[in-house]
Amino acid sequence: MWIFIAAELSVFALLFLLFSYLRASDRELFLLGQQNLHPVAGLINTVALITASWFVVQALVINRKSQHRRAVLWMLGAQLAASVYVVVKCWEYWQLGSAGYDLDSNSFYTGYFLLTGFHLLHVLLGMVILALVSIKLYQGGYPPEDCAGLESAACYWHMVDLVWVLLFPLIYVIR
Amino acid sequence: MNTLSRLFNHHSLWALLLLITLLSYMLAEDSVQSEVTGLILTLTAVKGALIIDGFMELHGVRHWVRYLMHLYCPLLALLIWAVLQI
Repeated sequence: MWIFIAAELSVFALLFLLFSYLRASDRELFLLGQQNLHPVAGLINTVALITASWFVVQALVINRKSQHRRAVLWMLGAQLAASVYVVVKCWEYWQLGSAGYDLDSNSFYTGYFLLTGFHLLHVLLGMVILALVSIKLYQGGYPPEDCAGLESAACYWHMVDLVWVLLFPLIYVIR
Repeated sequence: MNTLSRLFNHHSLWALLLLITLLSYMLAEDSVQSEVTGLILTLTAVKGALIIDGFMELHGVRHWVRYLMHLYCPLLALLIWAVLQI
């Protein structure tokens, strides 16, 4: 799992550096593009993903007390928080699409849609993984002495959160 | 008691991460200055370290995975800052 996480983080690191390089090459264009984004949407998404990560940790802690049904409730909370992220991100795409911006508009939008779209795919995959482990968790499939699968799923989710923590300032905050 | 204190730590960590996020967000207007950009990226690296140690539960683990993970955010933040200064 850690090798997989390292590989994922390396790919995102390259994308971040490429986005930064493109930004440094044409600062004016990126500032104009950034003005069409909604920083509050980025903030809401950050809160949603950090909260989802917190819920996942709580599920792990509760499961270690052999309360797997309660742990599932925390997992459902994480799914709910992640859903907020997905809805807000889709709304952002819809807003930009309605205004006529897409992948081909300019290098800012190419970078923006590629980076956030790639991250969104990871969030969706993470939600599927969390849903699958939640089913097994509900059935008592992760006893405290053997919950490596649950911990791996949690680590993947935290990786997705970690990537967003870097993505948020790069796209929404830094001018 | 141990579990209770761990729960409390995770709650505090969540609140701290939100606080740092808000602080970064409030610095947005001034981030045209490279010092402020550096500060925002430093705060981002701190958030990364908190997620790695707290949420990924790597705190106190003596393993190369933790060292590499802890290297990731500061190194990437530094590289991003350097590239943005070009």
